[in-house]
Amino acid sequence: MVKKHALPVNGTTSDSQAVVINEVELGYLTQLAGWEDFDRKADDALRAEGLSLPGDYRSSVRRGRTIVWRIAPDRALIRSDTALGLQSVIDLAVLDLSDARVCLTLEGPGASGLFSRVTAIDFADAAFPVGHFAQTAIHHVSVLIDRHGRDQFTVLIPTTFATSLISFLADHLATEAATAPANE
Amino acid sequence: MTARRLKTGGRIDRSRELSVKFDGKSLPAYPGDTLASALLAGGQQIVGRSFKYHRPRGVVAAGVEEPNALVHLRSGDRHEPNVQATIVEAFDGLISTPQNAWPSLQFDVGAVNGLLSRFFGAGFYYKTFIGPFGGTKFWMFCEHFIRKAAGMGQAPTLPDPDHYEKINAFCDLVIVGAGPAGISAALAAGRKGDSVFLVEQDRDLGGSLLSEPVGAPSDAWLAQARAELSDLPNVQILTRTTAFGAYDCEVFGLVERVQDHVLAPEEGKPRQRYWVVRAKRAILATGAIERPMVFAGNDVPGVMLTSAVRSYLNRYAVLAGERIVVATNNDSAYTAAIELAKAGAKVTICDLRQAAPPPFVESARKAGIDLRSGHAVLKVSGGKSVKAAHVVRISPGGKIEGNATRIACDLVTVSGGWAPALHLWSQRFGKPQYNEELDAFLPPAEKGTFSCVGSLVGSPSLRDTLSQGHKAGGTIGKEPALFGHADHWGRNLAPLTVIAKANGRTPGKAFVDFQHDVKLADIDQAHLEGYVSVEHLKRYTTSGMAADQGKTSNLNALARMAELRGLAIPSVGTTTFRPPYTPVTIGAVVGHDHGLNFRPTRLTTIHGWHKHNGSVMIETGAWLRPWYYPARGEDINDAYIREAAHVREHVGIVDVSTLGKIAVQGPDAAEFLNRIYVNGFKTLPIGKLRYGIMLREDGFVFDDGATTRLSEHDYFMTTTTANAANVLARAEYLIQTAWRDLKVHVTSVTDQWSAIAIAGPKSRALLTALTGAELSNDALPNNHFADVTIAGVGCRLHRMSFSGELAYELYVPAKRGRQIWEELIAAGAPYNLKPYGLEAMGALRIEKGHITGSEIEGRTTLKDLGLEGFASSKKPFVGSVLRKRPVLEDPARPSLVGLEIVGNTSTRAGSLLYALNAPTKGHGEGWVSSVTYSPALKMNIALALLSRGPERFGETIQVVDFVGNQTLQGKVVSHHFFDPEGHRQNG
Repeated sequence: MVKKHALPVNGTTSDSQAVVINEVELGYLTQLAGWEDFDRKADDALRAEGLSLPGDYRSSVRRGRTIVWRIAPDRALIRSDTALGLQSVIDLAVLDLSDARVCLTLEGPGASGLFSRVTAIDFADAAFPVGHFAQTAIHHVSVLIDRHGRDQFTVLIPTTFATSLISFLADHLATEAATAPANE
Repeated sequence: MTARRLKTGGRIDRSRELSVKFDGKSLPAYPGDTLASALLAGGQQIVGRSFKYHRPRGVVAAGVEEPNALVHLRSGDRHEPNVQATIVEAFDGLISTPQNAWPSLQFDVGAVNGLLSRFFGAGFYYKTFIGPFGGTKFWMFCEHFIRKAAGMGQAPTLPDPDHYEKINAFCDLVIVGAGPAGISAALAAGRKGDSVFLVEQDRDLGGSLLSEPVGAPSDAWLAQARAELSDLPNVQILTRTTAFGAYDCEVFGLVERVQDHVLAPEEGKPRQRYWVVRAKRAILATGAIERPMVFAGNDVPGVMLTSAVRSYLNRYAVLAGERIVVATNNDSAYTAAIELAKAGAKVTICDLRQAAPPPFVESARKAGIDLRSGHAVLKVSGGKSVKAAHVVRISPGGKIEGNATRIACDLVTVSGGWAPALHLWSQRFGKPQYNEELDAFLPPAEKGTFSCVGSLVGSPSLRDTLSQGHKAGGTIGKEPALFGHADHWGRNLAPLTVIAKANGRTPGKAFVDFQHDVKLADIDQAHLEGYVSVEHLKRYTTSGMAADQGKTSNLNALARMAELRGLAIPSVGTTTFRPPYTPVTIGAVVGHDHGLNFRPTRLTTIHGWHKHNGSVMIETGAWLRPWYYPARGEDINDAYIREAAHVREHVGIVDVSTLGKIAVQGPDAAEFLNRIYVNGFKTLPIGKLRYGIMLREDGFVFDDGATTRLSEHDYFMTTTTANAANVLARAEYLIQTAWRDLKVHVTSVTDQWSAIAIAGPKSRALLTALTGAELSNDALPNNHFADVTIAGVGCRLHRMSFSGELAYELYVPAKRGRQIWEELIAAGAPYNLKPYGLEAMGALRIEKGHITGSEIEGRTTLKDLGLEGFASSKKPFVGSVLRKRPVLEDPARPSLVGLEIVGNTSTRAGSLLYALNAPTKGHGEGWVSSVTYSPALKMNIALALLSRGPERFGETIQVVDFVGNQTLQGKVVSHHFFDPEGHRQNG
């Protein structure tokens, strides 16, 4: 069984720092993958969308609400509000993953503290600046954490693990009665 | 022992009394006390009974090294056994009780064991219980009684009401120990701007300085240092925190006792917090632990470590005795002895050395101390408390001379030198070096990114200690300069801690390890029996085991072994230090990973509908799946038989979103599939799908599923639920290593697609009505797919059957999964559509003879499963070579068959198969893999692997369930029980 929490979850960490966990619409999530000369070909394809390929695996490229994360040497993930015009060609494979991830937001002064309790990533400002992301695991499940403000994060979670991970995160917080869990 | 609380002094808050109880008795306690100091102040001499002999034991130490004062703390669901009273902070409402004593602490019938100690020596259990009456049976009988008689406290049986949390942290520098060296290091590093974790197991910073008399010069420096550290935002001070483990890459495990010092944790606070700290470098300032002496009666309540007695005097204002004999072999005991004398005790010092340094002699005389140089305590007499010390003359060669002199006393303090607390260093780096002058093992001052400072490396003075810390911290700011007592143990230390007669024996029991009741005689016996390794010695005698992990016993045990073997201590070596340094509660290790969050749970997006409509769920790996949907009054058997029969007659839907789904993309995708599947995929046209089987390299079947060609370079693979992650990992591994020539990517899309199977003779009609698509056999034959739209949602409809019925699998964007399921339910009403669960799905596939994980279980080949015809002979594939090994070609190998069970009783999976009149011994000729009641055949059936199976159709065999003690008979038939020609699924 698993607890299903009503969102948003308003709570505090054990050091009394407030956190709000919520779910937002992910929009479109597109994977772009390739092989030889991926950097150039992917960059060309992204430039047609007004974007570019990030040079590393922690920083991101952003245009408005569209974000490009480089998740592997030959893969990039693009989150957007509207469908992109990317199409698979001989050297680039495009894959729609919009339904494969749920997008959570963690906000508040306790957000980084909550993350520190569930994942072995350094969330100090210098180690994880705003605009950066990390691929890691929470409770053994692969996630992508994006920092878009000092106390503002989004987390992409595999859709079928979302209820369980929300429960796990909420379990770390002292929550108000309004968000009391119900067995699911 | 007549301990009492002094009217003044101590670092306790006398303005408020606390309610603290031990064994039902109230103890005088104040904030700042420990349970141990309260016990002493309350005159409680016996605080526990020993592990094996149930001997009365009292408080020995004042810190984590305490071997005796183990108690039960709290009660009910917060009951905790084996808690060291020396590290429990006194709090209002504290309740503790003695352990390992019955009927009472004062009168314990287990003490009779002491009379039998001759028989309870080292290796007692092995020698007595293993072997004499045939193997281990006698031991198994006696074990119950022995475990009841021996041991520590009682384990809790109720669920822990508190919560615990884990947290990760990163820093430039972790400093373990906030005594003078650690504080000095933290000040320098903090001023430099490093991010620092200062970790202290005590509730206050200060370490040994807290045992200085109140008002000592160090107090002012300590107050100033604490204030400065508190003002440094880059220094995180963690008190009540133990660094229990040091691991590779400068990772430290810490446990912070956040709320252990109160009756119950505050709302929202964890009881304990488990830190994983990753540092760039480390400074260990963990100090040293005083070493006991070994003589007869050294465990009588009232024999204590000298440093502990000093702590109780100065920190807790408890004078532990009135007539005190201080036994020492070094300088460090003198300060304590003088302070005890000044506090009003009558003190005698027995110094093993022939002459103490003149300043100490002079100070001792001035304090009115009877100083006996060249003397040692041979024996302490007393049962439940110290009555007298028997003191003998010690020759310059360390031998006793003449007769013992009896000195009446109520407290004997011992100081046999010091053992640096090098556990963390040794966990990280291994064996330390022996320092002959200090008679101790020491870590080097620098190794890798570790620095060791203070008493841990035998610092000769307080000033040196501060200087070492300052330097290790970065030499920023003014170097602290404090002159303390000349308490360094190394100068003129006489390396003698065992006081025995000329024949090597002691006039009574002399203990090396108090906590596990290991006597000096046990070490001697182990040596006589040929034990030479300290690692073996430890396990044979159990010295150094249990909660204190030999903090006070290890050095004395190996020193004795060295003496017996005629070797120097370094030649004997040390045992291996392993985490944890002090016991860690299971709760802290578990954190939030328990109960419903023990592991992550995976839910399909249709899960809510299943729950809302009364499905009973079942765990399959991480997934929760609908097992069956009981109607009123139905049990599982009623429900699944009804559901399966309904599918055969009407139409049913089942949530199969848990199937593994992998996108295979790229110009070489077809070639990749051709290599990974045994059957050919290069010719699969766009719009079609094909069943495929994968092997492992060793030729056994790995997984099966269907792969659909969506476009020229785009394929959609399904796998079994159980093997989804394994297939993806295997594919990725091959692409990244062996097949780097292929331009192909594999990506899990299990979460992208919900999957719904619609099966039954009315399935086509239902789907045609719902989608408006042309789904005739010509338009959508078996093993083809079509893009369809349901309620505006684009879906993909695959025609394929697992049940043997006319069936389809509908792939839906996952976030619309429940919506489309509900559309199907609504549209299905005219067709009598019903949901069915995993159990009915299993029944249908067994009737059809389809395999799943029960048959693909790692031991079966294509041939075993009757699938050899799928293997292509025109191409290589994973496993194509090794599947041809002679052993896998043996015609006697068990092969897949069906069994019609005779009678009305079902058998169980795992039952073994025997010929009808053969004896039911050994592993049989095969086993049952899957069982069900078949509503179509109206009988119990099974799939089984039977030796030479297909040759034995028509034979009746025995089906034996050894677990359930049941023997049935089954008729061997083809595993295609139902519609073997496939008319229904192809219709």
